Parts: sequence; structure tokens; C-alpha cells
Amino acid sequence: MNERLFLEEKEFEKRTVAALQWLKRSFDVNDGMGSSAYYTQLWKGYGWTLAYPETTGYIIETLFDYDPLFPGLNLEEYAIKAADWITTLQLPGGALPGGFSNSKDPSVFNTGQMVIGLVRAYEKTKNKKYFETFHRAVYWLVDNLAEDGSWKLGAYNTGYIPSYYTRVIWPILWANQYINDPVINEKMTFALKFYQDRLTERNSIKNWGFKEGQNAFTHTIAYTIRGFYESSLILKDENVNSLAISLADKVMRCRELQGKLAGWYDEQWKGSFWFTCLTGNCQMAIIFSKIYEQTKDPRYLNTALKVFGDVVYKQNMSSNANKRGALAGSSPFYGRYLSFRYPNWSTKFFLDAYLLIKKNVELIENTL
Amino acid sequence: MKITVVCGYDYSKHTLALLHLLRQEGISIEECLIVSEYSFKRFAYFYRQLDKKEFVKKFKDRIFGNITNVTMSDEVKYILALCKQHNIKENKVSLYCKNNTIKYKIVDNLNSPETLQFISGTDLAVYTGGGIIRKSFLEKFKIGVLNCHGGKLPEMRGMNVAEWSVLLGIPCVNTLHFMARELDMGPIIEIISHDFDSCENIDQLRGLGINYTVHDLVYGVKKIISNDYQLTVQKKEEGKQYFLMHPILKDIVNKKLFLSHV
Repeated sequence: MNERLFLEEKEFEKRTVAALQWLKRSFDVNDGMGSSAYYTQLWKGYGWTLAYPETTGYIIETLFDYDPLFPGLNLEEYAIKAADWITTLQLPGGALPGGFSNSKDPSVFNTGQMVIGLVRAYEKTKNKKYFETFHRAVYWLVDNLAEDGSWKLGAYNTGYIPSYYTRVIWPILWANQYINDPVINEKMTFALKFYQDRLTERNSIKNWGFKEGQNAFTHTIAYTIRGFYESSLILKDENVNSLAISLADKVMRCRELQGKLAGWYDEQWKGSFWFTCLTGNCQMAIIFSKIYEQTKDPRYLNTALKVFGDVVYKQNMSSNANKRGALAGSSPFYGRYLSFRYPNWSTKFFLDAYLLIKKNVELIENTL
Repeated sequence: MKITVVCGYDYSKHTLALLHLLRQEGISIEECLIVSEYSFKRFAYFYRQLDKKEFVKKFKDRIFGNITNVTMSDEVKYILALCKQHNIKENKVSLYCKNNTIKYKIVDNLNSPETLQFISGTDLAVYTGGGIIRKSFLEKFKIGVLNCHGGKLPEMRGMNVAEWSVLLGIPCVNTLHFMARELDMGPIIEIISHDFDSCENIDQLRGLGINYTVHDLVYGVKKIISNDYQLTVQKKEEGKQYFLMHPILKDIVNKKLFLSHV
């Protein structure tokens, strides 16, 4: 594969438009009421699944980001419709539901992810409806914080507190920039500490996988690091910022020394290289790009290019409209992460990474 | 002083030039270790690490360039000119050793027991390539293993440091240092500035850099022989490790070098 081609204008447009069209299709199959979790021909629930509120939430960001680039795709319309739909899902206590669109179970993590989309929609439209929804969601999250700074209810796996909850702290802090409650920032600083304390001697974070004792996909590793990173920027907390960067440095080293990222890693950074978690690569590319923007250290952009370059040509570019533009969970297709499926969040993070990398490379070029 | 030269592959032109220039300075070489070009592990390493365009270029330069004597890239032109300037006739290190009665051995790996057994208790090794070296190898030499790193230490460890220097807008320099178990972390002998102003692309930068490296290694050996050096210990936190540069960033470096001449 040509390692330079993917940033050429034509290629960028071809691939991102295909990905956006696929995301739009994931909404269209639900009459705009949320984006389907994934498309599959080889997994239970064949075809398009029910809408998935959690990822619909953070896809809103991506749609807004790309709207100015491709106004003809009506992405803003999709984003607003998605945000409107999320406001209808709010449970009486303020929580937002986990699982598919037919679920009524409150979920800590999924609430956090939907807050991302709601805050973004509010920033864009100043519509109070979004503010009121994320305001209630944020207070549900803050009020349910346990004494030790963790969340014990609304878990994906009952009794297990994953470290990627740092990605719940970030949207709370982001929302609080509009809510303006100093207690929230205090509580979230305390909550972050809970996960900071999980740092191991090998510079990994305990329990950053989906299950206790299970290896962590790069997807959840990236969730955790991104949570630390974005929170540190909002709080202007240098310690948390250093921690996030040192974790990213470890991932950088793994990629650079092995020539690829493993699909998942144990706490000792022993990885399984037979598969790649495609979304994890894209998420790490986003983190490296953001660290590059902060530090101007080009090594981060370098690794962003590599981890993204490792997956960009895995995008499905067939003529099948249910697949064209989508990025699978794993490569090979039968890999451990979301085997045989095209999850909407893979394509979302693919788009986010692509845009950031392109922007940063252009910035360097423009300084010549 | 007994000296071993360590060489990354038999066709290494810069090792040939180094051997020749050292001898010209009246410095005798006890032995030469040549790492075999043809190992699957090595091939796999290059394939994994290099971008494909560079892999093909390296392959062409090293294999076809040497067999057919056709220069494939700018990178090789400089060292070929140096060899020509010094009338070096041999195209292989092993042949040069044979013609000049230098003991040599072709090995698969510098750390193997077979290699370690071959080293006859010399004082100093001069490293011109050959892969990662372990403690057991380093300990074989009384003074140490001399290396010339193509970037400024302690700031810039690792790979493609000349390219990284250009990208960061800092001067390209060489650093003479003794090797340690950790990459580019050994004590520094001297940082040497060079003029790279004529370079219009990375190939030229690297090519010229190789010639400077040869001269700097000769200079370093002379300093060590005359005991005219002071060591500066490095601290890890004083620098960063750089990795292989992505082709897209290399394109930017090429553009930057080119534009500096417009």
C-alpha cells in the first residue's frame, strides 16, 4: 500500500465521504432515530442492529466536524436529529440508558458518551433543550459518585469498575464549562484520582479492559487515556496531563518497536498481534494527534500517521452500500474485537482521526 | 592498542572507507566482524521497520548496487566518491581484510557465543552497524565500543535523527560516544558540527552524513589512542527517543530541504 496516498485530497474525500455516507445509512435504517450499533452478515442480529444511544451520542461530534467540509451531505441535520432523539431517552432520574435503543437501564458510561454529543449540539445550536438534558445527566452522574470516587452503579459488568470511566469524567468536566458548578470540578478531580491510583509499575492502568482480569483492547486503552488527557486539559492539571502522555508514550513505543499495535494488551504490555483492533488504532491516532497539538513534538504526529496508516486501507470500499465506507471492529475480520461486524464507532473514530491528522500535516506543511 | 571494527554487512562502503582511512593514519586493525547480510531475521526486521519505498531502495542499493556496481540512490553516491578518492579497489569488507591481512569473521549475530569467542580480547571496537548489541558483547572490549550517532546526544536518541533535526529546525550534528546497553545512552566523547547546507534532499543528507561519520570515527579513534578525551554521562530524561520517520513527514523534510535552496 502507498503509505503517502491516504492524505492526498482525492483519496481523503473519497474515503471520508464513503464513511460519512455509511454513518448516514446507519441512521436512515432507523428513520433517523439513532445510529445502528453495527452492520453484520455473519453475527446474530444479521443486518443492521437497533440504534445504539451511546455511540450515537459521540457520533454527533463527528457529524458537526465534517459538516463544513461537505455541506451537501446534510450532516448537521443528522447531528441535530440525533441529539433530539437522545433527549427523548432520558430516564426519570436524569440517567441515559445503556445498551440498544429498547433498553431502559441507566448506564454510567453510556450517559457520559451521550453527554459528549449533547454538549456539542448545545455549543452549536445554543438550544436549551440539550443543556437541560446534559445538566440532568451530569448531576445524575455526580450525585451517584461513590465515596471512593468511583461509580458502582450503572455498570456494563455488575461489580466491575473499568478504568475507562475516565471517559465519563471528561464529558462531565466539559459540560461543567456551561453548568459552572465548582463542586463538580472538585468531585471529578477526586474521581480522576481513583483511576490515577490504578497506575501499575509497568505504566499501564489496572482494569482498563472490559472485564476483570481480561486483556484490554486498544479501544478501551484509548478510552482511558483520552479520558485522562481531555480531563487534564480542562482542569489544567499537569500531573494528569503527564500521566496521559506517559501512557501514550508507552503505546507509541509498543507500535514503533513492534511495527504494529497488538489488538489487546495485558497489564505487562504483552500483546496479541494476530489481530488489530481497528477502532483502537484510530482512537490512538486521535490521542497522538492531540498530544502533538499540545506539545508540537512531531514524534506524536509520526506515530499517529503510522497507527492510522495501519488501518486506513482496511476500510471497506466495496460497492455494497451496507458496508461501503465502514471500518470493521477487527482485522482480520474474525479478530477478537467485534468479530465479523462493522460497528458505527469504528467508522466514527476513523473519521475523527483522519480529519485531525490531515489538519496537522497541513499545518506543518504551511509553516515551510 | 588492539582494535576491532564491527560492520553491518559485507558490502558496507563506509566500513571499507573507515578501514582504509584508519590504516592510512597508521592505526592497525586487529580484526573485523561482518554481520551476514542474508539472514531472515534481518530481512524481516527491515521489512517491518522501513516504509516500503525505502525498503526497496535499501534492497536495490545493497544487493543490486553492489553486484552490478550501479549506484541506485543519492545516498550511496557520497561514500562511493570517498572510496574512489582514496582509490579503494575492493567492494567487499571481507576482501579488503583478506588483501590487507586483517583477521575477519562473517557472523549471523554479534551476540552469539560464536562471535564472542572470535573476539580476541581487543581494547576498542569501532561500530559501523550490525544490529543490537548486548552486554556480553560490550564487555569484551577493555575501553569500549565507539559509535558515531547521527544526531545530537543526549537530546536525540534513536533513528532518522538527521531527518528529525531538519524537521525540528535544529542543526545536524554527529555525536561520538561509547555504546551502552541502552540505545544511544552511553557516555559522550564529543559532539561534532558539520555543514549540510548543500543538501537538497534526505538522500543527500544521509549520504553526506555517512561520509562525516567515517571521518568522525577516525577522529574518535585517534582521540582514544592518545587518551585525549573526557566523557560526559547521559541522563535519560535529558533526551527523547526518535523512531523511524513516516514517509509523509519525510516528504515534508525533503520539501524543507529543497526550499532552503530556492
